[in-house]
Amino acid sequence: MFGIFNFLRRTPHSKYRKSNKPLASQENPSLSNKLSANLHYLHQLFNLTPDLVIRQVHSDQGATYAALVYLDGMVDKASIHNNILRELAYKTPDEISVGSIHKASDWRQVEDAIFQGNSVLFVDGQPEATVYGTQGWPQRAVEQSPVEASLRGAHQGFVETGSQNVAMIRRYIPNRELKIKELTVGRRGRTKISILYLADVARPEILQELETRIRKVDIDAIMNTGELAELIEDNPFSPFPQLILTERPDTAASHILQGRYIVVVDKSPTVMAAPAHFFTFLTSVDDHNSRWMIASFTRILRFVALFISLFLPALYIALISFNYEVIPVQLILSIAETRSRVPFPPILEAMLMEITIEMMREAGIRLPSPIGQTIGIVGGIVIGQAAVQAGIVSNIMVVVVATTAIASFLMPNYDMGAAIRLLRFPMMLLASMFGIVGIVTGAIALVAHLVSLESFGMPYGSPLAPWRFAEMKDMFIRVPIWAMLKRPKSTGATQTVRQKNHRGDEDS
Amino acid sequence: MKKDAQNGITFMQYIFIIHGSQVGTGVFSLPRILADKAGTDGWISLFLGWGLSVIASILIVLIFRKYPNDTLPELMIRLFGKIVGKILILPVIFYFAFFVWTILTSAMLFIKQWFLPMTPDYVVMFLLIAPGYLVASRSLRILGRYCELVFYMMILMFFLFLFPLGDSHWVHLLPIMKEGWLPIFHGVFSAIYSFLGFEIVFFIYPYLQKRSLAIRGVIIANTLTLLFYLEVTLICFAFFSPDGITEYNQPVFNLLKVIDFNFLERIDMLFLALYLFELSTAWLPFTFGAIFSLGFLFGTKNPARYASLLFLLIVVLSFFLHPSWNQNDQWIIFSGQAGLWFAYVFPAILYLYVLIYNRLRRSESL
Amino acid sequence: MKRAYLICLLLSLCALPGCVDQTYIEDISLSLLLGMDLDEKNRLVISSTSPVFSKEAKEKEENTIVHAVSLRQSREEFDSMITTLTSRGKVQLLLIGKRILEHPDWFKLLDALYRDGKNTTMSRVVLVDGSVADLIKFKPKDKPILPLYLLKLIDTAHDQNITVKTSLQELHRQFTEKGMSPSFAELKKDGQIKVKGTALLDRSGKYKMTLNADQTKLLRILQNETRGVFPFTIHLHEQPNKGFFQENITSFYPNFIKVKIKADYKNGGFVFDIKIKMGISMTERIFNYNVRKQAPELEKQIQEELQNQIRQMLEKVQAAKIDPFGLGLYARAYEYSHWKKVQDAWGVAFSDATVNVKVKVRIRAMGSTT
Repeated sequence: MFGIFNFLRRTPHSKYRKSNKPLASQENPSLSNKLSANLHYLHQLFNLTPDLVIRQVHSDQGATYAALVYLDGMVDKASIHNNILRELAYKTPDEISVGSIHKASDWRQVEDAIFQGNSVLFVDGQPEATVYGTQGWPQRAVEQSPVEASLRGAHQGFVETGSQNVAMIRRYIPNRELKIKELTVGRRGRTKISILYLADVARPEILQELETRIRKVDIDAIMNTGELAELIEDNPFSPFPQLILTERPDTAASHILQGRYIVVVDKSPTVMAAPAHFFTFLTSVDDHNSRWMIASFTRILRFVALFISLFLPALYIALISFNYEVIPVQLILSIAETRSRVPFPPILEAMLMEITIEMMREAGIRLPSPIGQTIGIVGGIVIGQAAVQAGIVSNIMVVVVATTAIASFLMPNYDMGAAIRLLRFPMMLLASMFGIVGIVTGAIALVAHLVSLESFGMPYGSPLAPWRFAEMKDMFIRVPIWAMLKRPKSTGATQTVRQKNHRGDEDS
Repeated sequence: MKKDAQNGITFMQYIFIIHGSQVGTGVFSLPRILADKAGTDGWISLFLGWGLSVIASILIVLIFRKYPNDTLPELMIRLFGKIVGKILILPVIFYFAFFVWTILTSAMLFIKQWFLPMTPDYVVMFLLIAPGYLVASRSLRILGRYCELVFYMMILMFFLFLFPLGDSHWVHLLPIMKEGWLPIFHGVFSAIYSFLGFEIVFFIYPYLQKRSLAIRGVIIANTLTLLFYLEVTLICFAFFSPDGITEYNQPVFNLLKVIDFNFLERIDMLFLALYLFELSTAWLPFTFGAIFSLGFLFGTKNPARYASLLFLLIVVLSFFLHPSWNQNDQWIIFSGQAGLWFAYVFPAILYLYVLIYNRLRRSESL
Repeated sequence: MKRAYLICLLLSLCALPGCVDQTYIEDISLSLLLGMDLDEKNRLVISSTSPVFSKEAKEKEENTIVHAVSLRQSREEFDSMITTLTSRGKVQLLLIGKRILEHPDWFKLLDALYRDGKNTTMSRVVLVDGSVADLIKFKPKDKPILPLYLLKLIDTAHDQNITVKTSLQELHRQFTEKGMSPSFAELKKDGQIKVKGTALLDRSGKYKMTLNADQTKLLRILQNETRGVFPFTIHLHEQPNKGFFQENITSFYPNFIKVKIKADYKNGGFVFDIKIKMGISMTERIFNYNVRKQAPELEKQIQEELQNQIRQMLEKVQAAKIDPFGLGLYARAYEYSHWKKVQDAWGVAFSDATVNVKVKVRIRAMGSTT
């Protein structure tokens, strides 16, 4: 169902490669050593840019000898006023007490610097400009991500500034092996991309692949990490997410420690991790943060929920319209009694309820939370009850759909949850056409697809396909952390040992 | 020619591909056939059949030990020259494709009998094939992963058969060898058919990452198959009366009908539906054999194209032929006999040929 | 272009003819109970009871009775009479009238039930002493619908080992197995429906005799089927039995029963040695006795009484030339060469066989009083 679409797949990103028309000016003149000429050129470059501030600094003679240029609103004003402008009177440009100072000699660098919130100082008679790192745009405070809330994990979430996000990850891994590779994506957007990884753990081939794919992206701008993920994922026709998106620094750090690569996209509060595996989407931070038996129980519960939300409505449809022999007599009697009042075929009945539920969920997301709750109650109780009384759906169908909805809320990852919700519908269709055989066929297709999917050369279905017993320590159940001595092989980690066994010899 | 490491399969995957291709629809009627031929001693025939198939598969491995990077088509060309070799590949392709066809038609017939009696043949066939295409259009590595995963998923099936134990009468099996060895030998023929499938070693051996384990692998795979057959056969023999078992076409389903949990009845239907997983690991390796040789014959290696060609052919054939149970039985017998020659006799001949060929070549070079 | 073509091909798949085999659960007349009987003119009568799912309907079950030549043909008759499709995938009980059992080879009539893969083979086969039509019209006010009521009745009776639970599958075994003869539950309706015990048939399917509840327990033990509970209440003849109330009664149930059956061939006849070992818990003792002090003696008396009962039952069964115990299996297993000669007339051979039964009873618990 999914891989069939492979043939539709063009060589990735060819769409963008075709447009050779330059999105930005190609020529790149160097700076002149005359200030007036520079300012003139600057005016040409930035015409109709009212937020560009050009502060001219006059010498004692009253002649302009320097100009500080920055974009209003993108800079830290205090630093400009207190440090640069004040100190310029008695210090040379290189002595100014600003953390980051470097020189720019051509206009491309100058332009980039200005757009990134730096301030640029042109001095008359010098063919280069000084760039001060004075970035200071409006920022959100660091707070918990609402999508990935945790019970006990850190309550920090990423913000919209890439460098801050990198810093948040670095706080977890203050190690010199944590390397950062910087790239830029987008002709207009010039979004800074940082790839974080542990040089002695992560597999270099993946980095290469990741870099090539990101470099190949030729687009005017990307707004969010999700866009980048879609541009570089392996199989665009798969319903499954192939890159892990997260808003949590601790999750990101733990991915790095497992040998994955973290891609931080500037301006987006989400980072992505690669390579991804199906089962990483079923884990949550709290699994490692609560006691292992409870965590294992939750894991198993999650797998049950996965099956329920994928197959339960389909199974119900199949059983009551094809394979009723499988249901015990007593149950048949009660199901048939509730069904006897419903005028629709089961598939229609199920679709009706499922779509209602999905609409309620979608409606609830963007509503303010008090109203969202009301919607939930109104939708869940009132509509369900009324629908049954009106004879549109049967009681048991309401139970089935409600259980399915609850089960789908157990998915810790939003993307995976959405994929599962979506897959439920083809399953239901198959069930309504071919009964149990249809469901099993769908399941085979799903398994076959999961098996053949790869994420950056690493098998997506690992550790189930290829089967790796050793890694199942952290899958269906979570064994105690002191027993997980190795990093997962699935990520291609080259350094496998994670910890020394420190409890093993207590028993012997 | 070095097989790319990318495409290599692990030892376990090697085992499960072989095991998977051995276990197909045959097991449903196996107890009946064995009881027909050898009475309640049929299970002893299984051991003999196992022995023969192990010998044959070891022979295959031994042949390829000498040419470790060859698959069957490559070996044929090496031994018999380009033209004769390519002509010899033709029956091999036909053999594998025909096996795919028989497994799929019998699966289709089972599905139609138990679930969808009115649905047109080609639709059921399409249902069976479509998910398999996702695997067949990819490399052997994916097939290996798939077979491995499905094996583990189907382990539960092994335990399912233990449920009717409570209603079985082991005294049916006594006395052992009541009629002597003769009926048991009769049963061996039926038994070795059900072990067919190990001939896939012809194609997957060079991809095995640790070739030194190849012989151990085929023995384990055959033993797994034996265990499964033995379990099913013994429990069927204990459950049905020795005279009654021959009256059921597929005793296994009647056996499973008896299991009933409080929340689920008619396990046979669920079982048959889930067995489609196991079946897919039976016909997918054969598909691999067929499309691999096809690719070799025509020189391009694009499994997706050959797979879609083969599958389209099968769907279209089922649309026009409307296979019946009896036809299918004949096909199974035919493919079984072909398998007898291809999987048991052919390796022996080939092995001798290779021995002589090598000796001649050596003496020439001396 | 090629892609667009393939997309069209894929889209056309959506129009695959599916749903052909769909039947909604509420549109099925789910036959829960199937009856077979002969009427006065010896015509085959097939009856069926299925639940009614509509809430408006007053009756919760519907009975259909037709004359037919076979079971499968009767289904067409049913379809012409009721509004929904008849399904036999869930038949819970197969009632057979006693008049059918007067004729041999009726078993072949059941062919349709075995042949169709959709049918269940777990339906319990029950003999009705009387007319099947009478029985299925019975609608007790205080009970659930009849099929479910009968189902519960048979199942609980089987748990208590008052009768046997012979499924269609098991019946097939009993009919095809040369070393045993069929047996199944027997019901009778006099006002109330009552389990009479176990009906024993000969290998052709003709009715031979009925074992009552107590004898059924012994039958089960001899069949080496020791699941469920075996509550025994027996008279001990060596204990005083004066007074108005029968005083020599004791009740017990075994905690475990172990049966060992050995077959032998001696002096031109089969000899079976059956050793039964059971540990019992006393539940009632009306006469005066000190179990704490004189347990072995009581054990011996119980042993003898049980042996007596088994012997009496065996004599009756052997006289009828049938083997409901399946002792023929042991004859085949241990004396194959002799068995082979008599396998086609095992009933006769069994009637000449010697069956030695040894019961060994140990009191494992006497309860709270001595």
